[in-house]
Amino acid sequence: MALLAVSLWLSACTSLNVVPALPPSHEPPQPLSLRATYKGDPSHLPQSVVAVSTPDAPFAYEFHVDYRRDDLLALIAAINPLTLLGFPVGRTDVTAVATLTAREAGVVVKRYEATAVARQTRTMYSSDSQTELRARALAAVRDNIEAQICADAQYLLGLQAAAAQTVPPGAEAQP
Amino acid sequence: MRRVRGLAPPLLLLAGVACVDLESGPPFAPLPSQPPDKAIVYVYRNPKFLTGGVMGVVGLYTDVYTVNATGKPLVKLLPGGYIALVAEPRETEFSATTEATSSITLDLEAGETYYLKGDIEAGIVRVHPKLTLVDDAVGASEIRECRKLQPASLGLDTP
Repeated sequence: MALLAVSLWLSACTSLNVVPALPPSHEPPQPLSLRATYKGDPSHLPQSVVAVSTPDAPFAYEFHVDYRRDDLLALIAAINPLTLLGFPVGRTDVTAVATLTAREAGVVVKRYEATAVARQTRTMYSSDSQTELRARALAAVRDNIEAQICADAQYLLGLQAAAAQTVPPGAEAQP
Repeated sequence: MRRVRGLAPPLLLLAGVACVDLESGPPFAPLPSQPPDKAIVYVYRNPKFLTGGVMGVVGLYTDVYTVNATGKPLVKLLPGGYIALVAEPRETEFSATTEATSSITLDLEAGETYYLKGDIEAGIVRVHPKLTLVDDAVGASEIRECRKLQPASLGLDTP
């Protein structure tokens, strides 16, 4: 019985799946500071991306989050004795999709995308923090995009240099 | 007999279920207009199913809980009740806590409308709150059965 309780308790877990698989770690030849249009919390930005207010920035970073819940019928959960031992009563999936697009003369020339699914199997004893799952998924796509940026640093440095020659006066990075 | 005793606690979860209608408050009416620079969040709870008092493993408890927005109490969410929040377009966390916490963070966008549905799940001593973002079509349909609740805090814009 104790073994069953422990195994059921352990079934209340979270997992995180990210695609694409992370490329081998690359150190950029020099620190990148890609100027990107972005609205939102700066903590969700990859390290090499800087949010700017100018709409004609050469890069754009955005993300989208979806929530999905699958719940066991309340009646079944209530009459199932295993519920008291930690049998799962539902599952929560939070999917984050982040994209970084690079533009040259207004045309999209490169697009980086990452998708992360944070999943929690809930029991009677677990909390339901979709906020925490969202934070994990957003951190995963942020780090994945950062890795893709570093792997492609040489190309992006070229884009950044080309864009710097056409920066409109008055364009400032957001604090 | 021993087997019956083993099943008794979970069965008690269903005992004492009562249907309580929310009699106070006007019936649902959508906000007449949406400010273009704000988001609207409807927080509601269906009047159906496990409403009112629910008998738990330990004893009788109510299934009412307070929903917070960015840490401030927004509404004491009764079954069959709703509240409308006119919010700034930004990352906003909604949460509710009994013996467990349910939280969800929404990236509110100006001009958009969101439906956040409150529900309950079985708990040990108290029910667990359950906050779910639902599709517009589902939310707009279900909220029609609800009545307006009083806001829990004057610091939030709840017309």
